[in-house]
Amino acid sequence: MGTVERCKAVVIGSGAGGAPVASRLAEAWGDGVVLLEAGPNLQASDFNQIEREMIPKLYAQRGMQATEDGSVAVLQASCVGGTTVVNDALCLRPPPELEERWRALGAEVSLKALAPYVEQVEQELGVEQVPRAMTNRANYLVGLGAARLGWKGERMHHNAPGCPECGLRHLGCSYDAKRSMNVSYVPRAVRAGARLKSMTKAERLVPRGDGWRVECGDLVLEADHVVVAAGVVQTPMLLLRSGIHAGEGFQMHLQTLAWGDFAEPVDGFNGIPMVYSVLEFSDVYGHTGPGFMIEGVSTQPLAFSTQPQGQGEVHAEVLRRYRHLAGAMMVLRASTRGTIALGPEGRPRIDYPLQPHDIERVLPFYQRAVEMFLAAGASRVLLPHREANFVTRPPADLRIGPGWTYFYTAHPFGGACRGGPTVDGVGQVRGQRNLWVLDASAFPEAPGVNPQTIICSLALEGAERLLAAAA
Amino acid sequence: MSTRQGVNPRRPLRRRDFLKLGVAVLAGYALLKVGARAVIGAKAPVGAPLPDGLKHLQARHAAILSAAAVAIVGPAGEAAYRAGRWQPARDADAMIEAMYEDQRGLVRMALNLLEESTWGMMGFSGLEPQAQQRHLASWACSSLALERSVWGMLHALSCSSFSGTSAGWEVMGYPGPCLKSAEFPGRPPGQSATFEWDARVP
Repeated sequence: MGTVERCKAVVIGSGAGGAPVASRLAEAWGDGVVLLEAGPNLQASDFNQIEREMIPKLYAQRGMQATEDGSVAVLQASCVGGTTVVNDALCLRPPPELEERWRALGAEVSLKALAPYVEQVEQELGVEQVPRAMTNRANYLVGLGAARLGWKGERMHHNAPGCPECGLRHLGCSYDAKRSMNVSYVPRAVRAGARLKSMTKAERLVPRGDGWRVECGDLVLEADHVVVAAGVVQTPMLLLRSGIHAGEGFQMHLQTLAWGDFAEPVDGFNGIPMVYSVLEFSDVYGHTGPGFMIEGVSTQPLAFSTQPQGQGEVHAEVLRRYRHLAGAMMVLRASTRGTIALGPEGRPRIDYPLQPHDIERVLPFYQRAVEMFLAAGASRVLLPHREANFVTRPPADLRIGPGWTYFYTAHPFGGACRGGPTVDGVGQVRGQRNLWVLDASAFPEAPGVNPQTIICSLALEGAERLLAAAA
Repeated sequence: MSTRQGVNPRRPLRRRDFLKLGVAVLAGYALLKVGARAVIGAKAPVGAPLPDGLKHLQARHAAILSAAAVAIVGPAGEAAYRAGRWQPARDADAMIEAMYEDQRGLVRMALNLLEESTWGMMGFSGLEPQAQQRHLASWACSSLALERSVWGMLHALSCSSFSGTSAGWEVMGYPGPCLKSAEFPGRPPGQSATFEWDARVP
């Protein structure tokens, strides 16, 4: 028999959803709140900026988590602070279009009601527009190409005031400049009395009267309220292990890349990784494009090399041109809906059969990215495609799909969608008492913008609802 | 005249008999090849010895993976491999550690498939480097999703492994991170502020 601890509320997961919730609940209930995190509690001094050492420590499945057919890498962190520790610190406000789209799917969301929470989040995270003088050369070239073509875009907002521009946000901030959850809402929750338990995985939830038993191996927590915010893969997995219907509606921002090859060194590993965003082709913030943003992106050596860019002599040429490459990333608001299920050995099985509507919009991204970099002065553009590596004009046709193009996502959503079969319109699990889902797995649809601010503010709003329901 | 029990030796061979003969020859060849491969074993590229103490890759798999990795990364990878500065099998073994058992089985199966997919008696790892390149290139753009998938896995394991080493950094011209490491002195942060910006970019 293991240890049994009694508490008012358990929050499972310390990322963009769980940390703000734990912070707010701890303000009300103090040490009655337990914050669970399956991953380690790492500090700035642990982030040594060496990719081959930090990626296995920080990322879920050592960075190898992918859809079942291996066609889309699913990048998430597993540590205190969750994916906010390894993201590029972008904080974009919820687009106005979100409210109507989500309400149509059954989610009860009002951007007017959410606005105060967005402001709270921006204040806590120190959100500011990336200063013009901190735009690195790679992002400058993205902005230059877009401006010469007359495309709309802007410098994005980030939560790293005073950033020393080391370029390694994806390995955890070594300077505590990035206000990720591990240096913002988690310490705030702990200061308010919350008990943080890292390296503690919630295995199963068992109903107990109006409350829950949270089984974590030798540790059992008995709580009146449980908030599941373990991330888009692990939240549905925990619900499934607990016999609760979940896993439907898995979605993502589908991502792929292109790199302009310039005569002068770009050194895209220097400076703030993601600054400039081309909004011309998005379908949010009033734009009516095909639904993708083009964002400047860094080229750190290991992460860069995982994208298939040919082999042998072609790959040797890619390595020789590395310092001259400026990267651009597609963030496509994909409409494909997949599933998350319990696989062999209890592992997550992520099925995501890309639909034609999404596949059709990838070639236009490659075409626009090539036009953009050529306009900025690149001599050619490198694509992560099996049949076309360096191209000097926009490709008229390319085979797009699994195995031909490199796809990944750092923005997964769904699996326990609001208004869907698992969760009601505000985040309560259907048919269960005092059980909430307050992370990106409750998103009924991909929002179309980098989601950190939206996850945090919805979580804070959900925490208020929980407190009101408990009162 | 044929009987139910067999083929009349005086009857001319029909199309079906040719098919049977072909299947028998192919089966015999496959058995012979598998037997020969068991004796010969997989062949690692010339260079540093394969690393000891691998948890998930047998020597055979380590040799096949090393051969594929050197072919994919190209000349710089071959030089680093020969000098003992890059051990793709060791890195891959560490990555495989994070996989679930069924996924590990798929990696081993993929390596076996690659090794046995060549026509000659020599497996993939026994081919000349140029032939290995051609064979892998045919898999990269194969009409079979399975072959494209195996190539993608090998590319990811090989290139991420190489680019995470100091040998890879040298080839790429990457100066290392800002914090000082054992291998690189480090570079100062804040270099982006040294550029001048075009007024047309907002």
